Amino acid sequence: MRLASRITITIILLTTLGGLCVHYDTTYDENWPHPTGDQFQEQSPEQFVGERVLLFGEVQTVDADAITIHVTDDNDNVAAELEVLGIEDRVKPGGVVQVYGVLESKTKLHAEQTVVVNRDPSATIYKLGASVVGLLLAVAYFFRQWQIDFQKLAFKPRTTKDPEPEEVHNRG
Amino acid sequence: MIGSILPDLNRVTLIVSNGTLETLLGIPFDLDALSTLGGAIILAGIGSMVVANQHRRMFAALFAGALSHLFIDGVKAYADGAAGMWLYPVSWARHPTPSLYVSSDPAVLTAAVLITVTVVTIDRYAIQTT
Repeated sequence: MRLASRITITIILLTTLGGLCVHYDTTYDENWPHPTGDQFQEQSPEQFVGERVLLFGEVQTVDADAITIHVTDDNDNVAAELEVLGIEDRVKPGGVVQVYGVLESKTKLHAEQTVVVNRDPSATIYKLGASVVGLLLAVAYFFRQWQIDFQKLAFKPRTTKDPEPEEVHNRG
Repeated sequence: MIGSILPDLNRVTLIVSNGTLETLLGIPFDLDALSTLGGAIILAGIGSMVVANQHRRMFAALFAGALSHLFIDGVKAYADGAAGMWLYPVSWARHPTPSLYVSSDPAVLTAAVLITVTVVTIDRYAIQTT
């Protein structure tokens, strides 16, 4: 494919991808069956009292029978501070949890199910660290197999057993 | 392999939050769309344009990698028992998840390394290529 065609298609696809991100954000809140941090910020958690909700939050304090979590919006601002009862898993301040249960008041939730996403800040660092190492390994392996062809502005395999079609054509 | 990284490009939000992007662009914007079926198709399409030829093969390889990522994401733990809405834009449906894991569990990395070693070993020593 000609370079101009590839650039044109790439621009069209990038624009479509941008459109997808806009549409996803515009329609997400109405399709996600639970309140989001943005909705808490705009409408106050009081609107959702009595509902069974799934929330993600960062653990602030841990007591014997309850923890407090911060639910944040898209800007990472705190949209709600909730006291969560019924947590059985071990978790520390700075950890991240999913809690599913009835919102009893605008500041209290009784969890029926919980998932500890990150037990404490070190679990978050471990997760991100493992991801970065994995990413670097994948990229390094890719560049062992592929190289950049600056003339064509394209990646090409480092070892080609068969001559490229254009070269075959030139010989003829 | 590169394909399997594509859905995680939404992690750019660790550096620039969606809120900041929205303020910059002046419109609603969520990079989590990259971590969906639609995002995977378009990203694989863009990836297939960075090679001079054999675009379909490149697309297939990248999309297969991205799909493997989304499938594994689809069995992640959710406290309400339903997976994320990764089928977007085909569907907003949340299928039931067996809640097999959370990513911060070291057992996940151990399993991934064991599977990789097994696959590489079989590929290198058990499959005869002529």
